[in-house]
Amino acid sequence: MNETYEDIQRELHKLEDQQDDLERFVRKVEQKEEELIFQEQRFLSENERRIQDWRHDNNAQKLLLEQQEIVQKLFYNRLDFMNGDLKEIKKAKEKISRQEDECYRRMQNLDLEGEETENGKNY
Amino acid sequence: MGRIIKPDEVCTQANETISALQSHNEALHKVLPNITLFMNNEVLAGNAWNSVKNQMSNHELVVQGLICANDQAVMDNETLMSQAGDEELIEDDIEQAIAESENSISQCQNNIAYYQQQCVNLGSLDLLIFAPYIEYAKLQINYNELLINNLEKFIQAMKDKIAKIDSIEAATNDLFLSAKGLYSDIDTGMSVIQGAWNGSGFTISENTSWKSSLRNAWDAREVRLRNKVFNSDGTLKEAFVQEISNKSMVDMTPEELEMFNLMIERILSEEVTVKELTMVIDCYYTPEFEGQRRRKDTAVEFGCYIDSYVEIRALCGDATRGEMQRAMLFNAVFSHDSFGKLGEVNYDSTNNVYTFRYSNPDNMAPGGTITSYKWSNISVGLVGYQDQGTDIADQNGDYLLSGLLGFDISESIRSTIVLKATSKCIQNAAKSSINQPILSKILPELVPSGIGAVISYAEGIGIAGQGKKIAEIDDCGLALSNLDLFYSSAFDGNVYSYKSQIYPSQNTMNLINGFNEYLDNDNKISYSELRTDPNGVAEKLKSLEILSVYKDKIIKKLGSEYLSAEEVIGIDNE
Repeated sequence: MNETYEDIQRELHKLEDQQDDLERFVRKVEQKEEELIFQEQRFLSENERRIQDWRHDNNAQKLLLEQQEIVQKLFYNRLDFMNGDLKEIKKAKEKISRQEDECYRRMQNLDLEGEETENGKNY
Repeated sequence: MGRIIKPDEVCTQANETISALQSHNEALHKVLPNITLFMNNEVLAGNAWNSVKNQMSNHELVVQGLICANDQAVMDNETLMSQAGDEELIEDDIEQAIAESENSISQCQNNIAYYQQQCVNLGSLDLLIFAPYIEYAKLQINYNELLINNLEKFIQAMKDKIAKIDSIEAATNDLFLSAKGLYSDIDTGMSVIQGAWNGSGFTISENTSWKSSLRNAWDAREVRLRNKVFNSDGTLKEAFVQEISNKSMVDMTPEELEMFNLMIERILSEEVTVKELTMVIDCYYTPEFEGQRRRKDTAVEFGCYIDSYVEIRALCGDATRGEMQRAMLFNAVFSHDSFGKLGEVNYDSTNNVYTFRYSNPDNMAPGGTITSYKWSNISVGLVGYQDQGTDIADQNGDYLLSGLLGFDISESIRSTIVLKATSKCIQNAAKSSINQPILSKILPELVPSGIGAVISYAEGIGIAGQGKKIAEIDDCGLALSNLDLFYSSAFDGNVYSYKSQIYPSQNTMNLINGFNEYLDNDNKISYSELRTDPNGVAEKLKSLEILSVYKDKIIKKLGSEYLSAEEVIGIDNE
């Protein structure tokens, strides 16, 4: 079956929606992750103080050191994500852009090959 | 809220308080014998004297009450230290840590909720591109859960600290209440004492509740101390002896010294069993190590102390033969710095001697060929002399100081005697010595009123001052004569003699010399006469009308201070 102008337009809309979703997602994630990074940096710095405050209590200090370790893992995991997978997700936007370009190109081709009808061109 | 527990500061302050209270009690303990001496003086009779005695009994009660209150405060301070533990607890800091952790938990919960929602939202989009993010979100959820778990543990640890503060507060809430009550009763007692003088005598107050309170506290204190020292059947508690045997008298608290004296009294008493004597000796030697049991350092002071304790009694005429023998037993056993095995104490009633079995360390060396050990005996008794033990001396009619002066002067003597540093108990223990700090602790215990002039007071059989004055001092304040007090003991068949080295103070000697001066002037009684015809001497003394005047005047001076020689002569001339 031949591809119609409407088919391409639907695909284009879908891609635009995806593009929007992706943009929203990345914006939201970046905002949230940056907020969490700030939160974790503050926790790590305050926890350093707590570790000093409770150095006379082995049990409390052990728990605080464990907390420090967990939050550091959270923090580095977040940085890894933002420098890795999130960048990949951002790259997906470019792929979608390319797909959109492809759609426009195909639409252009139809413009050139199609016949005039009452309702427009038939492709 | 805002409670703070700093064990270091609590302990420093409590220790300073304890030290001050114990030093206070040490001084108070020295006051009591003088009051007792005065109150027990039967010669001081009549309404006026009874009024003074009643007043003095109030003083005695206040002093006893102070000792009890201080003891209670010491115990409370000790409880406070033990309760305070070893951790600094600041409630505000703990509360802050809990609040911060709870806040962190709340943030973690928000984060988990966020990632969970993200996963749901992205799942509906069904895009492969979000798959890595979903993995990441799940990992973040796991880490946050782990963090919450840890924060909860931390909060629990902090809550345990709050509970500890609560429990310390509960355990220490009632501390010092009892001592405070006693101090309040003491204040009442002091007011009563201060208001008692009516211009011509002491009035007896009707307010007596403070008296019964302080008396009960004193009785309870005595029971408490006795329960620490004695089993229910009156025998010595091994745990107590073991504990006290590790302590030098220098380091004993006044309370420990009192209990130590209770132990000494029990050891000297006729009721003591040979099993107890064996146990005490056992406690004063270390456990066996490589075939040897070594004498503890405290054994030497123990020997010195018990010996001096009995000597003073002997000088005053109230030491029994048994007491002297038991004191000698410890001197003899503790003169050995080591044994291999300790045996048991026995009493040979035929020969009136104590025997103690031991084995030499040489027979006990580990790994050697000798598998059995040879027992040796120390035997101790008052052998060969008739007048050893003042009970025996009494039977012979000998007059000792108490006989001469006509009343019991044991407390006076005890309060004015000093001992020379080289007490006789260490004569046979060449490797041991009493150092100055120990001696300075022993002496005040034996001479609560202080130290008088040191004068020589030697003894000897056969050269005793027959025909001489009983005792006198020379220009340098040194005594020239002596009494018949003689000890002997047998070690492995050899008989050893001990020399008495007791030194009455100048005041005591003044008392005796004053009396002899009087006898010289009027109707001198010779020492030989005292020994051979005590009844005749007693009659002579009774017949001397002036004696009662002289005696009364001396007695009236007792309780405050002793007469100087000049005063004695002055009285004599009146």
